[in-house]
Amino acid sequence: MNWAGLYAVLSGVNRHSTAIGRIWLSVIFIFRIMVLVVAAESVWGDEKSAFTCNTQQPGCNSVCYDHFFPISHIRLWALQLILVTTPALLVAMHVAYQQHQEKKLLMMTGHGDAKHLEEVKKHKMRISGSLWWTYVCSVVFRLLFEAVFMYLFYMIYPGYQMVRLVKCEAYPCPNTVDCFVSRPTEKTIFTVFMLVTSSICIVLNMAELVYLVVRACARRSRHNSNPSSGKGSFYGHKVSSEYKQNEINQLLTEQDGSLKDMLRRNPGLQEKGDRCSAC
Amino acid sequence: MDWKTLQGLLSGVNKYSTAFGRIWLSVVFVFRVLVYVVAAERVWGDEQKDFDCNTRQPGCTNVCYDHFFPISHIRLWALQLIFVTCPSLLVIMHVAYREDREKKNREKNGENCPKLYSNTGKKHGGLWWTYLFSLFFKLIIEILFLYLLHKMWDSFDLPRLVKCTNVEPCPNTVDCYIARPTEKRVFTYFMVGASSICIVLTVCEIFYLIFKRVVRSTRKWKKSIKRSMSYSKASTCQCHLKAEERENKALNRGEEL
Repeated sequence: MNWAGLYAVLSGVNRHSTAIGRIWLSVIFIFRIMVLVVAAESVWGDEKSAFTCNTQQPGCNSVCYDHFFPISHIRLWALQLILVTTPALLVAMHVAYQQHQEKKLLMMTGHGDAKHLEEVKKHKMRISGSLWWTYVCSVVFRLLFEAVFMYLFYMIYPGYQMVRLVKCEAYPCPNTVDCFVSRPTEKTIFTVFMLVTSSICIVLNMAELVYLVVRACARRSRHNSNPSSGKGSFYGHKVSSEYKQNEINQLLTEQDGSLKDMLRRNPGLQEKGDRCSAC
Repeated sequence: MDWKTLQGLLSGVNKYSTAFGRIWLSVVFVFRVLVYVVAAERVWGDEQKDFDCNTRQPGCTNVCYDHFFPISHIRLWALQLIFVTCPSLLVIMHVAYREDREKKNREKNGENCPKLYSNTGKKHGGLWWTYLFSLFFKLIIEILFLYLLHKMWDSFDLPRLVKCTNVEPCPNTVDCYIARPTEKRVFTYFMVGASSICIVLTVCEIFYLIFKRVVRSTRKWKKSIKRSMSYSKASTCQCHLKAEERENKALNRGEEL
């Protein structure tokens, strides 16, 4: 498992994201993960070995390095990127769960052939109902993690700038010792770059949140002014003579767009029961 | 053979796992293996080279390092991740065994013979027990490794300075300095935290499995009381029953003669 593995896992979520979500994922992988792997890691590669202190006291070098760099920038960014991309897995799990429910419903209504099941896997899930809440939660968590890491960065390395010289007084260094950081300017450039891309991602996440909320409100006001698009449970009620009523109703009582989408795309599914006028 | 191959091997388990099992697998691969590969390995990369002792005595640094780090954290975590993910392979092997048995049954009794198993991947009968045992093994291994980590390094702590006393050939007490102790401590806590989350998930999955089984058994028992008929398990083959009946009839005829 490495960054490529994470990419493989997350590119599946892309299909069910909004347009802003896809842009956000591209920014993460191209401008942050890729820059981290191909450039930033080699800049910080010799951070400890090239950290030189003006002393021959054994241990002073290590202690001063540990004092000024409790956790390396590279590791902080790696953790930030992992934690920021992980909430998308919540959406992936919810989508997988909904697809599983759809497949179960198809099997129950006698349309469990390979073609229909394949279609369930391929079609894009509408972000509505409980999936909307999961998606919004994942965006909120992303925002939270980004903000927390930006704050951590500011706390550990105030000013974001890498200095050339640090003065160290920790034991066992005798008195005050001058220590020199390797490649400070290059590190400052990359720190600022990662900071800017992090801010862009925060802006994208906020925009996505606003977009989701506005879309949900618009859909709700359309729904209120046009009440004929009712619940899908009417369909379930008609077919349930063959199956346990409770199971179908449980499946269909949620106002998920996925079932309505499926029924809209496959009018043939209604041939078993009566015509679904509520859909 | 690397982490990717292991991931490929284990992604097959997802099909036969519960929801908890799938979350557990995601936590293991994203928060443990990925963090291990992209971050933790680099932190421990120079651990022996930069282990500095305040002495010029040849060999003292090596001996002190070996005294304080009998096994490196990184290697311990690699072993832990391998051992913790392997019990899931038992489940894959059991399903493969069932499918093989099904295939042999079809070859022996023809294509029209009713199946041995309604679904080879469903956790009924022997597979349920295999799955449960694999969960218990995972739990024991996780707890064992956490205990080992705690015992070796005194509550997961990594100080800046360690005093190397009475270790040949170091003279008296020697101060030794660990490289990047704070960063190592952060990652140790992170890995311990992820390990604890996995333990909680495994415990929840065990309870969930047992609870589901109890509920299913209660439902079956209630049904059997209602219908008053003997309930045959899904894994009994009609052909096998018929063959047994024929054998019994032949035996009875033999006895009569």
